[in-house]
Amino acid sequence: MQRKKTLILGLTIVLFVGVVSAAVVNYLSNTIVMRANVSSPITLKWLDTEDPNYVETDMNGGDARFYCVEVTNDADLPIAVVVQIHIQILHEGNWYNFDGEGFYLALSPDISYAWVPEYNPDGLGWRAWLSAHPDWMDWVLAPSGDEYLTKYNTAYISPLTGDRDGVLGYNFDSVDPDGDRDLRTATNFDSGKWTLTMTIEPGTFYCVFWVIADPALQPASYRFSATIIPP
Amino acid sequence: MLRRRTFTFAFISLIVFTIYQVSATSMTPLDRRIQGFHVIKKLPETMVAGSTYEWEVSFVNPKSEEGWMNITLKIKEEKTTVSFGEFHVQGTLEAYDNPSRQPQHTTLTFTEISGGTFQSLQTPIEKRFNNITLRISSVPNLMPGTYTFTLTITLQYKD
Repeated sequence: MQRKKTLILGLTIVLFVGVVSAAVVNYLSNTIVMRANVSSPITLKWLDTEDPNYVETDMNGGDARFYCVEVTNDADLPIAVVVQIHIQILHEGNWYNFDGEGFYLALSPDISYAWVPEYNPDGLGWRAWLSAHPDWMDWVLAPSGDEYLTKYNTAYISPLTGDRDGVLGYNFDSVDPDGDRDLRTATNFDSGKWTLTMTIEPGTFYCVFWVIADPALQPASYRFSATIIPP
Repeated sequence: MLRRRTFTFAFISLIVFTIYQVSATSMTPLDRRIQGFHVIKKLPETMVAGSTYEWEVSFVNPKSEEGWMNITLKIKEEKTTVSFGEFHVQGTLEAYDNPSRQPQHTTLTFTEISGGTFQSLQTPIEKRFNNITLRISSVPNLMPGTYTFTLTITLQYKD
């Protein structure tokens, strides 16, 4: 009988301790979970090419080409990036990194005006707009201090409307009409990469690349591509 | 015989104690949840690295009791490990007893205690209505992928 009482008493104590200790936990808590797909903020797309990831072209010495790339920053703040332009050469069916020697590059974001109806009321394509407004372009040139660059540096307007067999951009001996070179930044080639540090504002803008081949350039198929990396 | 009873007693005691503890903390979570807790503004299902997004939740403190609020936000990715400094979290607590009166604003400071895990601890609460806004931003070069955001809000009262 005594053992039975002890058993009941013990059980009661355990129940009491359990209830009291549970009541001491006086917090309330909620948890919510969300899943989201996060994408890269910046995309590059070459225009008027079969593959938006690069452009391919056959080039001979002295040729000049223009290519346009669409740059989109979907983030809500400016992003500082390093843009690398890579050049490859086609040799026996395979693409190899090209050392960049023999190419002169310049770029200008002013081609973006071609997408503004106010400045392009006729809805011209970017090439036609470029031919019509060569004096709107301020060029970032590379590399600096080069003999040939100096020629192109001072010829930043006329080559755009120059004409050799109808090739847009060719005029090797042009002069700068107003003496304003509009040179803003000089960068350099490094093992086939042309590197430029820039800040990309939110939204979409366009950039035109002016690719000029040295007269001594080996005739071949070349491929230009761009990548963006953190600074 | 005595040993058998003692063993039975200890076993039953352990079972009863466990049942009470578990039922008080997790088996009946409705009794321990924050009243009126709901999401005002969801995070978008698609995000862009480098941008800032808001996550807004609200809860009611029915008796305007004094207490503390702790917030934990865990961010994980399915295939990669979230490193220190890849996300940044800021927050505000907007609290009021009467909607017609000026609300009280408190800045919630978050500390990243491990990669992708942020905590804001011991924020005093005393108002009836409480809106929490979290502003979550990431670095532009964040690895693209599917991220899971787990937000836990805990209230602890003084009495």
